[in-house]
Amino acid sequence: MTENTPEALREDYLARLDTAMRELPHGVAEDIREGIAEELDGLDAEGVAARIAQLGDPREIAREAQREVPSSAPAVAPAAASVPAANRRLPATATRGFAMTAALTLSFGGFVVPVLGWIVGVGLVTSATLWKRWEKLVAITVPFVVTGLFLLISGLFTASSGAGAANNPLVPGLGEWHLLILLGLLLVPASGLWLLWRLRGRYPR
Amino acid sequence: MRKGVVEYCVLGLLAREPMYGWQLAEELTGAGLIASIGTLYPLLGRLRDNGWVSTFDLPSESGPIRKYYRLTDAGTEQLARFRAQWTPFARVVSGIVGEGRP
Repeated sequence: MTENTPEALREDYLARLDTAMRELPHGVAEDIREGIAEELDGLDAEGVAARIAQLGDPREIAREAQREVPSSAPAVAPAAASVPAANRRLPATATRGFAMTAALTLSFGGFVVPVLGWIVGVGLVTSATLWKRWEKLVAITVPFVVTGLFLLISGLFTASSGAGAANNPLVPGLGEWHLLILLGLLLVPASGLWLLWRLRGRYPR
Repeated sequence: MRKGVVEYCVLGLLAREPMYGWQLAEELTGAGLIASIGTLYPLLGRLRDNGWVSTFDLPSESGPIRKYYRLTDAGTEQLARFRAQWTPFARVVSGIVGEGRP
């Protein structure tokens, strides 16, 4: 039996929309998804169902959008022909190759040139345009946030165990190398690989 | 024939007030200018790429945050140019094509 909660209806429609829009450029698909998601958000089941009926088949939405993308539609011509139509050349930072290089540099640059390699990765990721700002922010900051939380929890644990426990060799403490392993070997590469994973189905607009 | 004019209709709507995607879609589909919301967002993307519209987030009364589109100065300028060309153009075409006399 299918659930008819507003969330279930919304998620089901958005999932069908995502599938239908797989071939669309990432920017276009993202705009459509966001626009529809915000409209379905906060409604009761009846409201969501009514909106979905109004929207119609996601495949038709995708087809309509496909007709409008730059390969099939000319860019909007200015009212006064002051800017001649020119072949639009994508900036390097908008290509998938650039984004993949950026994600891999963020993941493994620090292994090749410690610290500096990671900083270069951050620079490249920040310049790439195929990710949203929040995705970049998550990939760059999460390793440090998680490490910080790890430190905090460990500190609280040590404090609650009493000052003596910290020096007790039978209670495992948090050494610097633990943090380095956590941050350098696990979280930083994972954050870059996550960005790489987020690139699936995304193409420059 | 609608293609190329719809963009300016969007600019015209946004000249009245900032609007969010669904609002624009309802106006344009109601007027028979676009078939669905699928046509609207690529069009808005092009207007944004041209620097004619910009976006900002605003929470709605029901809670969710909506992305609103508004006209930029460049967009206002484009709309003024279009108006200056469209009005005499439409008058000339109407004069030639007329109202369809038998």
